[in-house]
Amino acid sequence: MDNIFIPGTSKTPEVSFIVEARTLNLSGRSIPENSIEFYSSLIAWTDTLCNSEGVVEVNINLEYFNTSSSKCLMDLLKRIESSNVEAQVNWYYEEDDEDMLEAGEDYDAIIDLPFKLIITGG
Amino acid sequence: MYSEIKKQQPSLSQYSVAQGDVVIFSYKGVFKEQTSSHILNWIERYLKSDPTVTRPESKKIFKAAVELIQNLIHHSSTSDTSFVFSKSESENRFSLISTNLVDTKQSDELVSALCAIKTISEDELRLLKKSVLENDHRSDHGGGGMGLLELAKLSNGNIESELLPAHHDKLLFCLSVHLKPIQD
Repeated sequence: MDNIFIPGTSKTPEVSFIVEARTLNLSGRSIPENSIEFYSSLIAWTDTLCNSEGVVEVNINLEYFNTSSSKCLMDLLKRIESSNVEAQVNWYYEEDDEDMLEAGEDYDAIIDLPFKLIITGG
Repeated sequence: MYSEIKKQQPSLSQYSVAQGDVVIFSYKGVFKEQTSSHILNWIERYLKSDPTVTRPESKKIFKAAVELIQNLIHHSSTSDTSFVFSKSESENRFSLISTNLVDTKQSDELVSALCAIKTISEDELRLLKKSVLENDHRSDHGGGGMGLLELAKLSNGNIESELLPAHHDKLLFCLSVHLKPIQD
């Protein structure tokens, strides 16, 4: 199983999924036209990681995401939740960005994983 | 590819642009991924250059533009498709307008969905969006029908639609989203 590093673009997030650290980092923006295509390999990687023991840390630090990405993020988090692996989700949002805060609160309410909402300077 | 890109020319979609609004950007033609990138980059640059727009406002406007434009990519393939970005100085708001052809069945579904959205409170809208997010259902393009809910939420319910007669048994669906400055 290899690490995944994908540089961010104007429509897709920077991805840094690290096996040894059991850490999934998404940052930047996620507004691709075809989110399923972008996220399918990341979800498959997450499934494989969750087959092994150890705490998984998810860091989501997105400036923007579109509605189709929101479903893909939900899929990714649900896979972790259903695997029963121990996990921590850190949801970063810019100060004054109420929409991103509310989105984090909604994921927290739906997904049964420890969830931290962390404010950033923007 | 850019069959028609116009700036500062309020000739397009005048039926939807309110009187007195200044058209900042308009495009009419087929929407593809590259078209979307070009328009979104342009809007983002514009918003950054406007000192009256705060970052939270800019993010709301940009997110609404993303949803409208990507919807046009998925639901239109004809040159009847258009997108207009306008500003009303007097009412201190931005408007985003999209038009695309729909058939009767689609128009019924859209009108019904919009009527339902407009009758519910902001809290109910958030709950509805959360329930769609939680649901495993997906539309063909991955959003699960969340686009209209997101637009309604971003605009605090300031979303309007119009159906105009077009050709070949189709109707022109005009969707307008109005974004006012965020109140403290």
